[in-house]
Amino acid sequence: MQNIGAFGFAIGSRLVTAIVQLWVIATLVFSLMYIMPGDPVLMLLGPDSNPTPEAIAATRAQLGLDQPVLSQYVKWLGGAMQGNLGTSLDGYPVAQYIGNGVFKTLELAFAAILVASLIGVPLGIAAALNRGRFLDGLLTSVATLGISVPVYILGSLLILGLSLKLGWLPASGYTNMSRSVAMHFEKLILPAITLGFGLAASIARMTRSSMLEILGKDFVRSLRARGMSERRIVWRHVLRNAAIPIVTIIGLQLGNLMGGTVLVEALFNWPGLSTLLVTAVSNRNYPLVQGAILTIAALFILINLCVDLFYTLLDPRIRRKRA
Amino acid sequence: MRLSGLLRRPLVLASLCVIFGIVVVAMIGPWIAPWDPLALDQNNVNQGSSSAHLLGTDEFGRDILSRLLVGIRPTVVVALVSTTIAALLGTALGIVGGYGNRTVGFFIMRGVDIMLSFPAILLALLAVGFWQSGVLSLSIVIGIIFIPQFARVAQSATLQVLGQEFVEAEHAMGARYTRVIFRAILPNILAPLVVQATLTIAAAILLESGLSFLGLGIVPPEPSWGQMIGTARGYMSQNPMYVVWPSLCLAMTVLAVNILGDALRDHLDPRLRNA
Amino acid sequence: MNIVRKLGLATGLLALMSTSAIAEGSLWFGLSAEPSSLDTVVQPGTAARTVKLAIHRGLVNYGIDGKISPELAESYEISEDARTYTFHLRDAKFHDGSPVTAADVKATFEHILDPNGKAAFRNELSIIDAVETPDDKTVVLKLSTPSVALIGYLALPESVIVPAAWLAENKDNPTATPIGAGPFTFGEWTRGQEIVLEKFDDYYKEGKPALDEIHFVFYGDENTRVNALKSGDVDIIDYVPAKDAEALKAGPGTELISTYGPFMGLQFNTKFEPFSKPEVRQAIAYAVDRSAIINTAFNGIGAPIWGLAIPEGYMGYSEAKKDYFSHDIEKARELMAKAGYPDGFEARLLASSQYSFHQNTAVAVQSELAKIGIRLTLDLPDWATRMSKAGNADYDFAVLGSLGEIADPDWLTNYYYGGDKLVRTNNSPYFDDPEINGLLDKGRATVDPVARAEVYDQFVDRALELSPIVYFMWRQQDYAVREGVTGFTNLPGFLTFQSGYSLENTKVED
Repeated sequence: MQNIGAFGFAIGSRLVTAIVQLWVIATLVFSLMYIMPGDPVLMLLGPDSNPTPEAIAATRAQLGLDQPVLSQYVKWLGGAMQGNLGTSLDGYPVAQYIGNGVFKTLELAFAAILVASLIGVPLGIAAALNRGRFLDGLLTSVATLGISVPVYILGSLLILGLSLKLGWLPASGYTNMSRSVAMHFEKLILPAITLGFGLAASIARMTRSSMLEILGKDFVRSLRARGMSERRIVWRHVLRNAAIPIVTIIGLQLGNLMGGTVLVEALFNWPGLSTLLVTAVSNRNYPLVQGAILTIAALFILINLCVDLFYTLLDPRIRRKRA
Repeated sequence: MRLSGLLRRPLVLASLCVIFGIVVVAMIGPWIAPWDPLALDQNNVNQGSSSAHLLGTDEFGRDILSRLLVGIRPTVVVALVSTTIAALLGTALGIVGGYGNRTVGFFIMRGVDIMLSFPAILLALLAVGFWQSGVLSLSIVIGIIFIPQFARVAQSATLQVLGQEFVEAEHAMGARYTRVIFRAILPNILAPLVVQATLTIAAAILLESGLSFLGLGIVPPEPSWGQMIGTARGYMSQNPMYVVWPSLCLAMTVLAVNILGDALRDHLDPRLRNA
Repeated sequence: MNIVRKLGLATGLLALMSTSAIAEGSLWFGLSAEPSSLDTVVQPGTAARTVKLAIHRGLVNYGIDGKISPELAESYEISEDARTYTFHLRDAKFHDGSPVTAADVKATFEHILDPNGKAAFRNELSIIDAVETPDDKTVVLKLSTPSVALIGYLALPESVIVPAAWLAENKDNPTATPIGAGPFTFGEWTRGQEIVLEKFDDYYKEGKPALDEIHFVFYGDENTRVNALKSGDVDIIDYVPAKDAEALKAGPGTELISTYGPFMGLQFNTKFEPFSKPEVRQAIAYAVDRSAIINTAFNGIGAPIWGLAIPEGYMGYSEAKKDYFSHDIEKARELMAKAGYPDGFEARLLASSQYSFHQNTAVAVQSELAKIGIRLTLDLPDWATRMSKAGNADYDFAVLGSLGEIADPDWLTNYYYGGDKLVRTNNSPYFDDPEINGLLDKGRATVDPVARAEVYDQFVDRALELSPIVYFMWRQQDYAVREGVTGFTNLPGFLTFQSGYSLENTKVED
């Protein structure tokens, strides 16, 4: 039972690190926003309309932007520690914006990971089992090509072909599930494939190398020596061992996707966190930028934490070491 | 390290040729470009291939081939400078993190963790928003973004090397830290760093092009590939080949670097070689 | 594979069920931006105006023919001395069911005129001295100085009428649900995604609106917006990029609704020494080949301007002066030499990378001005930075893409008037000419149309002579719709950004 204590300690220290990480990121972003040129009040009042100095001053005071930077920071941090991300410059709670965006980003990320795993893992296994043969060469080349094509090129091509020319799928946007479930999923397909394609390639590459690593282990050799059939070795032993690093890799990719959807969201007008962030940056909506970045970083850290826990719980070597 | 074996693989050889060609063009591009890449020609906009303009013209009537040739340079410079920045700083941090004072090492590696917990493109997006973007600022921003990866690789390689006898022998002989670092550690962690460098170059090219695609990269009218793709995307129905050329160039370059990186890794990583 | 099949089956089933969920008269409007605010008195851009004009109405508004259309006021009179405006209200209702009364009008104007308020056009409306309400249905505006231009400002989306009770409660609450007397009620705003409006059954125009609901979906990227229309994700889009206009016009399945509205030109910081000289500004007007800009930055679409940007039919338009400049490099060089810059000079041109037509105009201007020795560095930050630089006059000269706020010639004041605020977003910083100021003041106060036209003729002469702003072209401002969308009108000329008004007439057929 002593390893449960150790386990708890590990989680505790990770959580402390995570909080420090978030604090550093928040502080960094806060300072970056303040050296950035551009005036949020001007953007809010409409720069084209020549707002009067009185209107600008009044708005600035109303939003608390006339306070010293340090006191703004302390106030924001105090709120953030209680889970209050503050108020967007247009008056709505930042949390409301985040709430609207976060599930859409998560949905897109999960869909992309699903696509990527369904393609990448089987291909990686096939390549490893055919190491050095034609199939391996072909799959490896395709995978290398896959990680070399920028997502925005692939996405543009898919829109042009499948959507504009053939009219099979919508080109952009998001439909709420409550309005039309079918439309909801139709609009998910292209962005998920665009995002998933490159991921599939890297998952395939990593699946291949994890498989190869396990295949080269002594226990495989001794199993072979004992005359166990190759098929049984692969399906019963190698795959089981390789599964842990593969799942870990997929998890890490999911974490990376928290901010990695930015190009695809832009390309498909997917109203997720990244779109929110890009708009907020261009409007100099400081509280919204901070909230969005903090959320993205928190999701990333959380997902990685889960992956690590999973890894620690499942990896027999690590388990043994601890015991 | 016998690298000659690598050269016998046709794909690797082809990649090397592509990379060599790109570096050469990056150096002499402006001289071999058939047209001034910035010269507007209002009567010849969005033309397809012709004998005058081999790859056609863009929305300003500028020669696409010339812009491709000249646009290599910012792409290559950003990739190389940023990788150099990341490699130097990252390796230094990694070695200190692995070999130096424990407390310092702890803080360095936690710092690396923090940087890693933040998606690269978002950092770049924010950072580039603050400064007037250009080759230099892009190189620095992208360089900083890739420091933590190098630091991780360097640190874990250093930890491996430290346990080996020749390092302990140096210590036993009373060698100074700098001597240990430069004579014992650095040469022995070079292999994974070289592999990391190729991966970083590919990633840096993709990141630069992604930023230029979002309009945050190289400032017009100077061409860069990512920026050309970003613009050409809007002209897909009028001049479809406009988007194809820079996309092909970009994908081919990244592909070549990736193939080389893979080959180097297979070659240098003993685990994979023996598998 | 099992999951995939299940998903496919589920999708198919739901597709059958879901068609009925979409209301008949729904319009999906691809908007170029998410409004930063729906506060009626603020003017944050076209996107907000489009939505505002669907929710609200003013005493008067600009109608689809570009003329002042009586809205909440059934009729109005302007006194002989142009100092008293009298409005007679019609029987109209706000979305909360309360009637539109003189008290609401009074409260609205008090809100706009609040010196600490945010009203974008407070300056222009501040000549309103008193708002009198002799009875529930009559409003009398007393002006401090005579103005015939005021009616134009009252027609703007920023002068719409809101309930007094609503104002009392929500004046300082930016998240309050908007209430107006327009054709659509506010439904829901999913932040970062869309704004939904619903039909207002008690709208004062019989049989309008035709639509049951409007979804304003935010499409910041122009290419994505065009794709969304082509693939049928939305029914109508604003800000059609010039490069796509032709294809959308040709269809099939799409139509273009065009007008020449905004102009492109240059505003000069007259503190930057070369640009303090009218000769240099004129030289630039002669040097730039307008067709070079139109053909490259605007894909061949647009009409050149060789004089002032006063649309044909507007007061101040002069057939004789419309081709004041010409493309004449020799003349440009002479003027440069006369100003003391025979070999040119170096300058920074501010534009923005966020909007391709701004950026592309800058690129074309750079290439054109090189021909008379003016060597440009382009400054292409994002829009927020560009605007704050403009607000601080932190540039040598800048690409100007804008239009007159109203159809009355007083729109020129914003661009040419000196006065006490010499750095504005749309003027040439520090330009201050007493003669021009005097003419603009006089024009605003002259009631007789013939006398008034004479004043603006004099203004045009002076403005061309000094050329504080150089114009290049009329930009075609397009909306594009899917086949089956009818009744949407692109308001003519300067009023194009107020086209949201015509949503009350818009219909969708499937």
